Amino acid sequence: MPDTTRRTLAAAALLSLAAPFSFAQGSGPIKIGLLTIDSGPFASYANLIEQGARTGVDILNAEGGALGRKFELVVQSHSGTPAAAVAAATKLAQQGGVSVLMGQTQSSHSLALVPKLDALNVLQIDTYAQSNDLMTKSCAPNYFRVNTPDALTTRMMQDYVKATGAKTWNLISMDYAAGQSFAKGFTELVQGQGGTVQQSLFSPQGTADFGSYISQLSKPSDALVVTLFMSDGQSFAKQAKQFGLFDKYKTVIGNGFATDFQLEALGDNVLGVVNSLSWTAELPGARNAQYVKEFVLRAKRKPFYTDADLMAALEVYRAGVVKAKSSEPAAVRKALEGLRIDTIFGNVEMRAADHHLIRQHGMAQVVKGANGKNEFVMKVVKSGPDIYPPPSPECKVH
Amino acid sequence: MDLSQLFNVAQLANALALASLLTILASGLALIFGLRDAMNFGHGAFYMLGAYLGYSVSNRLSFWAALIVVPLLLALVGAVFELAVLRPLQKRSRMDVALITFGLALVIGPAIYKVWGTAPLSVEAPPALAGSVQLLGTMYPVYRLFLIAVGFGACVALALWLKYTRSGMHTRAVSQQPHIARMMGVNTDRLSLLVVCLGTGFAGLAGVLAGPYLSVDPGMGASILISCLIVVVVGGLGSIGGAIAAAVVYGFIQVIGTVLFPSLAVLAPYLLLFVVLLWRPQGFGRGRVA
Repeated sequence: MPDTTRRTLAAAALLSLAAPFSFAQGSGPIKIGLLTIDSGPFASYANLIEQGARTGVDILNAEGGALGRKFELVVQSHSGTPAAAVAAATKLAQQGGVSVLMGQTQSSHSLALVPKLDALNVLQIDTYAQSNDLMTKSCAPNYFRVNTPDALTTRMMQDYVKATGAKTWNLISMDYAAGQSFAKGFTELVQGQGGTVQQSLFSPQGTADFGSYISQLSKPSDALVVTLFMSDGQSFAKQAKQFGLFDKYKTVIGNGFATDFQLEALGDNVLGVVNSLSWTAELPGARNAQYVKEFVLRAKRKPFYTDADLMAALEVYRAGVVKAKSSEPAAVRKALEGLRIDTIFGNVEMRAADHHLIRQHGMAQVVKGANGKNEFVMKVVKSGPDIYPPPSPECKVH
Repeated sequence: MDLSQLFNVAQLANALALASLLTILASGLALIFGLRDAMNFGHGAFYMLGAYLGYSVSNRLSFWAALIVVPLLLALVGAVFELAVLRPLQKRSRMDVALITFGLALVIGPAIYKVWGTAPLSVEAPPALAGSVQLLGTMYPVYRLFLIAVGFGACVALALWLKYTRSGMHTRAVSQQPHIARMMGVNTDRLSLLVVCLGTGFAGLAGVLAGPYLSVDPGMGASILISCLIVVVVGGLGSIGGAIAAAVVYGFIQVIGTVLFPSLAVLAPYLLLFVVLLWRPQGFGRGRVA
């Protein structure tokens, strides 16, 4: 093959490799990577996550996008293991040309992704993982989080737990990072208030029959805390109702258990359960009201808190891109630190020390609404500065 | 670790409820393997199809109607499975047939999601079975007791059919000595059709029973298939009696594991498989379709 042809081919190959990066950084749409899960208990809600993200992107594009560029969502699903999440993120970064990742990242996924973000040259703006490690020892420069971590849920519960007067507690949690982290924090909270955790059970993800756990939880105790998610939570709720489990407790608290997007499927199985809830469509603020209106028009349904977290993540990212005047991850990262952003949550700060959005959180109870359908009633909402723990010295983002 | 839980009547009943569901499923799988010499990796998908059909029929008619209609529908599916898949492939190797049934599961799953969506569905127990009863001092769901009764009852009926009816006798004969049985005039093709329909019908029955007991969700087929395969291997490939015994042991191992070693409970069934394969590789059962 003649030398000129070889050189031409080599140049073309190099250009084609660089093209996604050049589009990501200079012109063309700003690509946002969305990770979704296609098997296991979380797969059922992947479509919801994708719809929430697409609607958010559409809303921002209707507002003009950023720097004269539109946002484009690139979706990559995976089987739900941390290794699969990393592979999917790698594909999004290297082939999809995305500058930022978000989506259905469980705590174990984010913990696996965080060490790779720098090498992949992407940011992650987390809207899903709850583990406290992500705001302490597993912090990273390219990692940001807008959803509420376990520490916040535990803090929200602190006042509520005291108000219940319950002294003895039983816990059942998912047997992975989020469940273990929450159970540890909640146990410390209860012990700090002079109470005792009598039982702390952990069930593997994908448990179908909760009978043996429910039988163990039937031992007398004042209150029960359930940290079971998605289809596991639904199975548990149904089986608990069959056993009459919740009637044995004065108080039942859910963490990610009775969620707004599952309320219809959960039915009366979760009536009376108090669950942490970080956002509702009825929260005050013109921007929030506008978002709800736009969302209903486009998606033909009311938004859930997961949609709101995704919208906030997109608003945060847009603000960073605009301030940095670039979509280059290092520049956006620097721009986001300490930035105050107008979001659907109000004017909130992306804390520089640990890259966490200091936003509101609340506790809500499932009640029967006037229309006969179950709904959440907010019992308490607290603003971010009142409840976020101070930055951890273990967190190194610089 | 609360050892008193092991002697709790509710825990014993939980073990039997799980065993009951596995018994129905494993019996169907053992029947198909025993007669057709085919490991049907699509059995979990048939069970899932039965559960989703059970959801739809329960909503439109009633749970009781679903208990009759859905196994019949799955038997029809079994007829198609036998005529379109197993019979044309009966001269192929076991691996080929197993892979094709695995592929069938990969097709049935997404087809189910397309029709019913991916969100978990809830099937409530009928009012007559919705409450709880006192069981030796503990309140226990009526539906689980019903499941235990129906599950083991179905398997006893299957065992009686195999032992005391002509077609049952022919089934045992073909599974143990297929060539001699053919020479004696047994119509093996018709028998295969009957047995496969019975096997898939049992999968459908298990699916309907699982609705109010567990959750109807996209992952249910894959997760129970693994449990079912363990039960069939531990029970002895093709042995119905062995499958029943293995399912009971499986149920108790799960419950004991959850109480005593919660973080290792998920490994308990695999440890059971490991121990049985080392100690008695042929499984608990006496032979094929026995």
